[in-house]
Amino acid sequence: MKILVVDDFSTMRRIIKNLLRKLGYEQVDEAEDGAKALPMLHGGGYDFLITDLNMPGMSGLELLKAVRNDASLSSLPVLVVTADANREQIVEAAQAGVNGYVVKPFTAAVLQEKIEQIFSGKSSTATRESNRP
Amino acid sequence: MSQSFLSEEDAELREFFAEDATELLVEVREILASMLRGEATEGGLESVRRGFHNLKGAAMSLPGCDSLESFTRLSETLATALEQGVIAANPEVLTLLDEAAAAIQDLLAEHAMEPRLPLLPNQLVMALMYCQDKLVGIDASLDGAQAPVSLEEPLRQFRAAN
Repeated sequence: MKILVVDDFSTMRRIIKNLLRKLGYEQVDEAEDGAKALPMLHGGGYDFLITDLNMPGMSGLELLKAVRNDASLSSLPVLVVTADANREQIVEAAQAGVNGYVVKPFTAAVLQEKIEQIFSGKSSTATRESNRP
Repeated sequence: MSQSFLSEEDAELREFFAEDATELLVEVREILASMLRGEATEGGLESVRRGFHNLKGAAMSLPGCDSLESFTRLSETLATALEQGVIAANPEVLTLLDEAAAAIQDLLAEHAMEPRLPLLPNQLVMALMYCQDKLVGIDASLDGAQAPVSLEEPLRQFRAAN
């Protein structure tokens, strides 16, 4: 499974990549905000997007909306990561079509659980799921 | 029981974080210095708030960084109030945030690789908590159209007394 991790703080990208590596996901790329992520997603062959919500430029929510409004990306599973369990933000993300959210800090086991929930609940991603390690 | 040493993976992450955070804090302090000189900085307060937010998020996720997490949470709360115009961006408050950023720089320069980061200076923690307490009172009384509240004088008095 090819994953794109988006966060404006490189330490967080590194932390998430390390957790994903522990879970056996080796094909992980990173971008520092939504504006840099969007062109990478186009034609990048990504199966899964993990994005922070609070970013400068194009926020995670704006990225999510752009993905859902793009015919070539609209079915891409998206997990949002946030440092604050801000109910309004999470509701807004849910209304924009997010597949799941996780609040920092989280362990590899929690991340695995979120990934399993997302991929087991999406028939459109069944093919992608078969590619998981 | 606290760890007596960092695992190889945690040490690598901590080192990466220390470098990353130090760069971020330099940017935060440059913005605050510009504001203290009275120069306009577009999006400056947002960058300051986001800086403390990012440090908090990473500190939450790294073992042994509890003291930094709570300190950056307090700093972010104050920066958010400034960004939202709840309190006025006057020198006393901006200086407090700059001192907070400088204290984190010092902490990371001296203790980044210790399994558990030590506490940040008490006087700064107390001043940030004082502001947080004041914000609770301000939030309760705001009617949405109020001018930013100045913490300049009460904060100066508090810091002089503590």
